[in-house]
Amino acid sequence: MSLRIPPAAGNGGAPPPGLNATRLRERLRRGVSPFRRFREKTVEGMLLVCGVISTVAIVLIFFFLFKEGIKAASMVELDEFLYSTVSVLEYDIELDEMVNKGEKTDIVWQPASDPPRVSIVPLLWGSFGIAFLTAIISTLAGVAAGTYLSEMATKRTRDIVKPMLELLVGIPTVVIGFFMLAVIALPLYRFAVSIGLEKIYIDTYNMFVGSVGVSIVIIPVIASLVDDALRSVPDDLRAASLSLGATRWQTSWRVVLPAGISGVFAAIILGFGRAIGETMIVLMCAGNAPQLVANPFAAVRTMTASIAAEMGTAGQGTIWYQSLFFVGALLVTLTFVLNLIVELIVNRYRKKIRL
Amino acid sequence: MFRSALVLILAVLGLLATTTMPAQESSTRINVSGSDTMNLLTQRFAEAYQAANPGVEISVRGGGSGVGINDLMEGLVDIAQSSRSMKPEEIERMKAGGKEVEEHIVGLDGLAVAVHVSSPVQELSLNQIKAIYTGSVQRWSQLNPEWPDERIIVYSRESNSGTYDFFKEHVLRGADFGNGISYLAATAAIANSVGDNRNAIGFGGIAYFVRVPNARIVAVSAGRGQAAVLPVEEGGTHPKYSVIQDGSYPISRPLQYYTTTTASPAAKAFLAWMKTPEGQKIVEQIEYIPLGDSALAGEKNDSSE
Repeated sequence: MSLRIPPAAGNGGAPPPGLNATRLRERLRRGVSPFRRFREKTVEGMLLVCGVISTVAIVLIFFFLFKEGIKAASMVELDEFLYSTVSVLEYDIELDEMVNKGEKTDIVWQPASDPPRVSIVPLLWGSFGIAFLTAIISTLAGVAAGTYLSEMATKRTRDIVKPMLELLVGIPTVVIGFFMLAVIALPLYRFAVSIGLEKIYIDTYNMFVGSVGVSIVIIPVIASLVDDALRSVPDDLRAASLSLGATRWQTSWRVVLPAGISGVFAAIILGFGRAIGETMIVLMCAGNAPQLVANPFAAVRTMTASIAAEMGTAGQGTIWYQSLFFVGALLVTLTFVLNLIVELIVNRYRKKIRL
Repeated sequence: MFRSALVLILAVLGLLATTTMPAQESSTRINVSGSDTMNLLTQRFAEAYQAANPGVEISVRGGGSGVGINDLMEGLVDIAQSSRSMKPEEIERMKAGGKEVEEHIVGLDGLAVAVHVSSPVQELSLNQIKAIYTGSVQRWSQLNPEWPDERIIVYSRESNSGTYDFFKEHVLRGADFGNGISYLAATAAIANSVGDNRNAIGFGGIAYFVRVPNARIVAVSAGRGQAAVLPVEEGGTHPKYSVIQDGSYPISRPLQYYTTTTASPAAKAFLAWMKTPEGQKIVEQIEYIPLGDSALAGEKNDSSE
């Protein structure tokens, strides 16, 4: 059996007759008609303008956010972004009175109080807690779904499932938030209480419910990217593995997935970044309580939800207002860094696979 | 030919002018914004008033009491609806802008404190409520050893709402809200959430809580040794007017509208109409507390002065 690729019919790969290299060069030198050249230049110019506009927009957003955010740093001491001093009020059960027991430092986001307390730690906790939980849930589900799509699904299944997944990415997040709020959160709470978890599963709307909601958006993103990453793994690897007697599962798990692992990582980090930036779902169903409780079933508030909920109330130029900008600047920096990491990973991975 | 066309155009323009001009004159627009709690009330007022006075167009927008007062300051609205009194600094700012405000109280609202229907809590003192909302106590058992040793799930309105300000001023008496409170955007959401979670507590207009079967309004006492007063009738489905009108229920507030002294006659007429029996009936219909007879009489004396 011959393994040689049969030569293409006809003249075997040579340029078509009548357009040899010399004539082509000649034509290029003489150039195209002035009108066509003008058209080319115009289109090129328009594309350049589009590129410049989006770059300028990003630079302006960065500039504006940081300009406003830095004002917050000049209005309050930097350590006030971490903790503040509050008076300790204790309830005396005998007297039915509140007793003041001096002062303590507390980590609290309470910008409406006087003086404003703007520790961003509870918001960071909320954002990162939700992003990590989401990353765990959607990595498990997303990588599994992506691997299935790329390695196991028949073409028919794939043709149906992949567009559906991509459709899921496009659902407005407010709809998902509403769905979680109206359909999932309460039955989940009742179920948890009914199996005796009422000491742990304390809030009806909590970090976990928020994460599940965000996962609905992130899973398809990860699945789709993982599918793409695995499909660009050369078929030679699969063929070699299968010919050595490995099963399809062994091939996918031990050969293809490791080969595409940087693409998979990129997908996960991208999903994490999107989870940090997600606003509507967490605003609606994560409980909206800025607090530091080491319990995934307690209510939390994220940085994004704080900006969305409070921007309308915070008076312009107040510490509150500037602190929200500070939070915004932090958010932009975070997502920027995450996207940068993804870009670096993907670049390395492109070189490795030689796409 | 050309001339007849010109005449025709002029005639059409003239016709348009005569048909649109009077319409513009007779339709008066009143813009209202402010308290979300009072949005429903103002909308009902507006519906009834517009039906009785064709040509008056009233637009009602929420946003929170603070938003309404800001809008009034900037001249964006004729009337601000507010579920709290204006703060001294707000009055100062109005004065600085050369505007005097007038206050119109059209009804009362009792702020209910409610828990889940399965909770053993029947009554709370103002200080107990304060202890919960400042975060001084985190478990029911810290208030009463007989109550469950479970974390209290605390709900409040967002800081842009008049309910929040009123509660902070009259129940927390200036102290800060504690950590771990869930801030919700609407009182209806609080009422529903309280009905959903067995350890929840929430506050807001009585009308919102009587509608949620799983939320139970608790009696509130001003302090230990004083009688706890329940602001709803037996069975918990209707607000109890008498205890709020006579002030024996400790957490109640006026529903008020603010205008500038230079407000349009239409806006003033609308506000005056709210205090008529017709207007007061609407207050009652959506389960706020109408002004008592004495208050209405007092108002009349005020306005005649």
